[in-house]
Amino acid sequence: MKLTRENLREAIQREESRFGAAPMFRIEGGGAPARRRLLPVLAAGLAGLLLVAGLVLTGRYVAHLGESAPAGHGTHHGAYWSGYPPASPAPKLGPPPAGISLIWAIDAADPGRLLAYDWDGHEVGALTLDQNATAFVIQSPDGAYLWTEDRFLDRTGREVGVLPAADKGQPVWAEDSRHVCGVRDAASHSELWTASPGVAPRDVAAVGPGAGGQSGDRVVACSVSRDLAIVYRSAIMSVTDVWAVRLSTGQVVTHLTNLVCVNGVAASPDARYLALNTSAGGACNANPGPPTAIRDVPTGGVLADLGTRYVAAISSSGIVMTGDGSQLELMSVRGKLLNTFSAPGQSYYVLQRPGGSDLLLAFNAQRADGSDPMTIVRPDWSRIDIGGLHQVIAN
Amino acid sequence: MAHKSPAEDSTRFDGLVRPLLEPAYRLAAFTLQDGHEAEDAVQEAAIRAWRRLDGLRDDTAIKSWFFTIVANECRSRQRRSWWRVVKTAEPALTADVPDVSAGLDLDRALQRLAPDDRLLIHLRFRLDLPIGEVARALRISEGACRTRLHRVLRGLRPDLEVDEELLR
Repeated sequence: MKLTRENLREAIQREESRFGAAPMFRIEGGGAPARRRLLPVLAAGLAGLLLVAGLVLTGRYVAHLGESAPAGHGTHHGAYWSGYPPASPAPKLGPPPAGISLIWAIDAADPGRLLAYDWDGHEVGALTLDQNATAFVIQSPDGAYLWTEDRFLDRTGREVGVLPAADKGQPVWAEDSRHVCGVRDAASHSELWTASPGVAPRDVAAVGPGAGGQSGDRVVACSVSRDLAIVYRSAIMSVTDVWAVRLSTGQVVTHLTNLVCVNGVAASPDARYLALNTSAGGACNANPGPPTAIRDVPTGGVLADLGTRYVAAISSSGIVMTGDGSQLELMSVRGKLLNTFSAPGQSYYVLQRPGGSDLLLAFNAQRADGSDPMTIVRPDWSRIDIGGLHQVIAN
Repeated sequence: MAHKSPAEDSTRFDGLVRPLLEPAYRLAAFTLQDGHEAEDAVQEAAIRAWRRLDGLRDDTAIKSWFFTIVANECRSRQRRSWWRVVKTAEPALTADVPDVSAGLDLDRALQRLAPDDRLLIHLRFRLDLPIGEVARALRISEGACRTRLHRVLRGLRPDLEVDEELLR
């Protein structure tokens, strides 16, 4: 059998059928739905057009409409009043200094450029990479290393190792910032492996029988210092198994299996705490599922039941982030509410400062400029908003 | 370029972009593996397309132009995904997924592709864009696009011989 255009196209169509037709954009059977859906688009565009036209007529407006488009325009950077010339562009920083923990983000105005911030929210450096590299870059917890789909880079952008995702599956950075862990398909099982920049991957343990069908295995946390990795298996509708595995021996410490109604997993970077998110619907067929639970990984014991909350992340310091709307809750692993924040967006990216309790939170606010708000939260709950236009790196 | 009235712009936009919304949704759903996210992505792409319509000099280039915007929106949304949290894929909305057991391995391999690779495969083999336009949509060189295509196809089913026609 050959891999041909036809069987590839058929497979893509089967995959598409999982999501159904696009109800709001469907044009067959009458144009009204699409028209209604597009009406706000047209109205907004028309209003903007009239506004711009009016301003141009007054002669007071200078617009830089260099939209990125196939016609060869540049990137849109907004517009300014002629009476207020734009500020001088900030000096272009080089690679960030060594010896400090870094937060990396993508320059929203230049997707091929990575910006580095320190944990006081200051921009301390930048790297210009190939845009392929920034599309799926993940940073080590301390920011000293990056992995960009097939290679490791140090903070200066120098390649320090090769690790193709195609061979091994996507890695997860270990808590020590010097190793990565991942799971790959073997013939009859899934294989947990570890690697380091410049050091070839090493198989650690066989995890369960082969995933098979439409299920797959992934690492959710990996800690060399605690000698643990957490691997979960997900199918189309639910998470079915979670394993905690010793990195040194491959011994399975905990295996949670036959999980019911679990639709998401979160773990602390040190692989100590695990949250199993549950929900009605999906695998539960709309029946109320068991409560979302926080577990202590070495023992598998339940530390807290969080009801219907959805856990987005857990820090190694034992702070649990919950919420999937405008309200964000920070709780202890025992379920005690510590603080609440109003969130500017629905989903968030979390990074814990290595060796500390500061948390970086990033929100998907759907801003018109494509940037993501980013905030550092201190243990005393004070907050530092990181200025500038940036997007969260892939994770 | 002669200035067009808003009504002309609206007619032009409707005529050019509307027929592409359905394929754009399929592209976004296949890439993002989420129907709701895909719908939002296409909506956002339509808004961006409207704002940039003046930048489209050649109406015959509408397909690659609009799919570039959709692809960028998908990539942008992918970057915003949660950290260390995986929400599993939503259940099928249609129950009539054909049971083609011979294709299951290929289906599974497609699901496991990185989002950028899914974009590549869909743009090239479902929307049938020429390799140069796929490269432009992904903001990479044509050479890099061919290299990536080669890698993705070889990795999809290592046990199968890849039809050379796919690599051209």
